[in-house]
Amino acid sequence: MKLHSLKMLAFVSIQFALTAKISQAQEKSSPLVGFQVGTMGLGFQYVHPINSRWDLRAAATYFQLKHNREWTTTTTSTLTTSETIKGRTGGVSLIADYNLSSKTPNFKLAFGALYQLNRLIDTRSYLVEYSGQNVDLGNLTLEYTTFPVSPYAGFVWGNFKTEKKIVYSIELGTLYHGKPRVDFTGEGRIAPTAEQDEMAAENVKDYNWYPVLNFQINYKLK
Amino acid sequence: MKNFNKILIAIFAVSMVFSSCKKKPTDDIDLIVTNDFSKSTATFQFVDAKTGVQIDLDINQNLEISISGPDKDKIVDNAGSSNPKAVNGFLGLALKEGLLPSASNPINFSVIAKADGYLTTSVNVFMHEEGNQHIIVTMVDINNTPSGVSAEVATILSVPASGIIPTTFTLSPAATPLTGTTAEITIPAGTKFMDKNGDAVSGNINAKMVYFNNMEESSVAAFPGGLSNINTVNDEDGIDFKTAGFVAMNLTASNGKEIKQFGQPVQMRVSIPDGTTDGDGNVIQAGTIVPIWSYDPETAEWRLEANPVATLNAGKLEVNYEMTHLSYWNLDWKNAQRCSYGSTITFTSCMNQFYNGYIKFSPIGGGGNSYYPYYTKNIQNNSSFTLRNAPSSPTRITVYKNYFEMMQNQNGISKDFNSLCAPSSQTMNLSSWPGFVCPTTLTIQIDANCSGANRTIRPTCAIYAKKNGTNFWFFVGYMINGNMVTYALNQGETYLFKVQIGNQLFTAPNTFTVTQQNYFLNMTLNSNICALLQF
Repeated sequence: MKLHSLKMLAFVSIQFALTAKISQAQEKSSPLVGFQVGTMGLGFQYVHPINSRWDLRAAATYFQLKHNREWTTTTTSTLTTSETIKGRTGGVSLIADYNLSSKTPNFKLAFGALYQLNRLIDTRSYLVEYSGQNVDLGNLTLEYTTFPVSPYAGFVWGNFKTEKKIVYSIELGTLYHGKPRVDFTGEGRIAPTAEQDEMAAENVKDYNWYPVLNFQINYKLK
Repeated sequence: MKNFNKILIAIFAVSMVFSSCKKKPTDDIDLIVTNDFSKSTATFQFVDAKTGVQIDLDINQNLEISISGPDKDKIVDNAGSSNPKAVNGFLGLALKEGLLPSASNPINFSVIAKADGYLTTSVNVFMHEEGNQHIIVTMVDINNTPSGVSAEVATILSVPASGIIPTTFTLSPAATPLTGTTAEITIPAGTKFMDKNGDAVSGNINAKMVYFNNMEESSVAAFPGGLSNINTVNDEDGIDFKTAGFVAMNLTASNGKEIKQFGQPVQMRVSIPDGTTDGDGNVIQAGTIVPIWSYDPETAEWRLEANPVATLNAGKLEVNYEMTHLSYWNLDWKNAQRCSYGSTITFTSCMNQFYNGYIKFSPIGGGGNSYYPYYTKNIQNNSSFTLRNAPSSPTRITVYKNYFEMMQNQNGISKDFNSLCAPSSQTMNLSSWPGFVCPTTLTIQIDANCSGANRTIRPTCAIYAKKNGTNFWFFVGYMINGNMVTYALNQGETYLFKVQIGNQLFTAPNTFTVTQQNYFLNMTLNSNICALLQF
C-alpha cells in the first residue's frame, strides 16, 4: 500500500515536471484573507503571493463532532448497545499553491504539510436484559489517533484572476497520516474484548490517507 | 495534453481517497464477556447428613433456599440475579458488584434451606476477604436420621377454627441409643395455635420433632445453623456455642400455615447426656445453669430465652422450660473455653497455588460435647489463617483434600496442638498428605461460546467433578474469567464435570481423563446457560 502511494505521488510529480512551462513574467496576485470550511473543519486562512506562480497559504481549522445511536439485538435475551462517537479534525497547515500554467490561472496544485488534530473515539455501552433483569456489561472504547504531522497534496480551483474583491475556490486533496494508532480499552464485564487490540489495529492499518475537500471564500487585501 | 494530465491527476486524487476503504474497524472482533463481577463468592452443596448424598440431585426433593441476615441485600447469585436458587443441590452466591469485604468489615448473611422430608436448616456465612469459600450444608432426613439424632412425626387431628386444642398433646422422639436422652414437648389442652401474625390455625396439624444429642459428632455436625459463627440479637456476631443438646420442632397445618405462637406456655423437657461439660469445662450437675437459646430464621439470629437450672429426674439430668413460641431451641454456653482471636496457623506444603482444603478440629482427650466445627480454607505453601473463637484446650487439626474424605475420615493429615490460643504463631506441614503427589496442579482455561452468537464467554463459575464410578460430586474450584488452578484432580483419573452458574447447571457430555497439567478448552454451552449469560 505504501509502495502504491509512493508510486502515485511520483507519477504526479513527474506530470507536474512534464507539464510545467515557464510562463511569461506576470504580476503577483494580491494577498488574501478568508475562511475555509470542509473536511478539516472550519477556520481561517491567509494567502501570501510569492511570485506570479507561487502562493503560500497558512490556515487554521477545527471541528468537533458527536454522534449517538442505540440499537438492540434479541435472541434469547436482549442486548442493547449505546454508541457515542466523538471526533475532531482540523489543525494548522502551511501549503504552497502552484499555478501550473498561465493559461489556466484558476487551477493550482497544492503541496504542504499539516499539523493535524484528527482523532476519533468510539465508545459503546452494553446492557443485557434477561428474565426481567438488566445487567450492565460495561463499555468498550476504541480511540484512533494518527501521527500529527502529515504531508499534503491536492488541487485548488477558483476565480483567482477575478478583479473583484471576493475570491471563491474549492480544494480537493489528501493528506497522509500513516497507520492509525488504536487504543482499545474496556471496563466491566465486557473488558476482555479489548484484548483484541491487535485485530482492531490490523483492521485500520490501511487507513493511511485523509480526504481534504473544502470551500474557500477570501477577500483581497489590496 | 493539458486535459489528459488533469484527468490523470483527478484519478490519482480519487484513488488516494478510496484506496484506504477496506475493512471496518470492528470487523472480526468478537465480544468477549466475563461474568466475574464479584470480589467474594460462596458456593454450597446441600447433602444428606447421614448418607452424604446430594439433595435434589437425582430425585426431586424441592430444595428451596432463601437468604436472610444483616447483609442479605448485598447478596446475589453468581450470575447476578437477586433471586438466587439452588439447582440440583448446588448453589452459587456472590457479593454484589463493587462491594469488598474485609476482616474489620465482614459481610454476614444466612442461607436457609428447605427440602421435602428434611428439617429446615440454615448456615451463617461470613465473608472476610476476597475469594471463594465452599460450604457443605448437611440436612437431616427426618425418616433417616444420622447417629445421635432422633425424630418423631405425629398428627393432631381436627383442631377447630378457634385454634384451641381440646386435649393435651405430647410428642417425644425415641431416646438416642448412645446417650439414652431425648426431648419431650407437652401442649396442654386449651392451648391456642397461632401463626406468626397471631391468627388462629386450625385443621389437621402435622407435628415434627427432632432431638440432637451433644455427644456424637454426626449429630452435632447436623445441627441446623451449626455451632459456629453465631449471631445473637444482642449484636454479638460470629460467636461459637458449646452445646448440651438441640431440639427442632415444626407444627404445620395441612394448608401450609405454620404455627409459630401459643396462646399459653407449653412445656419442653430436654434430657442431658452424662458427662456433658459446661462452658468452663466442668461436668454439669443438678443446679448448673443451662442457657436456652431460640433461633429466628428470618434474621438468622439466636436469642437467649432463659437460664434454667438442670434438675435430676430418674437419675438423668434434664432441663424444663416453658415456651410461648415455636422455633429451634439450643441449650448452649457461648464462647466456652475460647479466645476471641487465636493463633495464626501457617501451612507449609508443596502446593504453589491455592487449594480449597477442609479443616476439622477435634478435642484431644476431652471428647464429649467439646465439638468444634470444620472450616474450608484456601491453603497453599506459607498461607495462614487466624482462628476466631479458637479453643484454648488441646485440639487436633486434621486437613482433608475434600469433604468426602473428611466425612469418611480418609487421607487426612493431623497435628495435635496444646492450645490454639497460644503461642501466637504455629505451623502445620501438609507435605505428607496421603495419596497426594506434589506438584500436581492442573491449570484449566476455558473460552466458551454460545451457538449462533458472535460472542465468547470467559466463564466465572463453580466447577464440580465426580470420579468415574462414584456417586459423590466434589468441589474442584471456582473458575474466574475462564482460568482456574486446582489440586483436586489426579493425573490418570477419569472424571465427569458439572459447571454451575446462577440457577443453571451444565453437565459436560463426556468424561475426561486427566493426562496433562495444562488445558485450554473451547466449549459450547447449552442454551439455558447461554440465555443466562447472553451477552
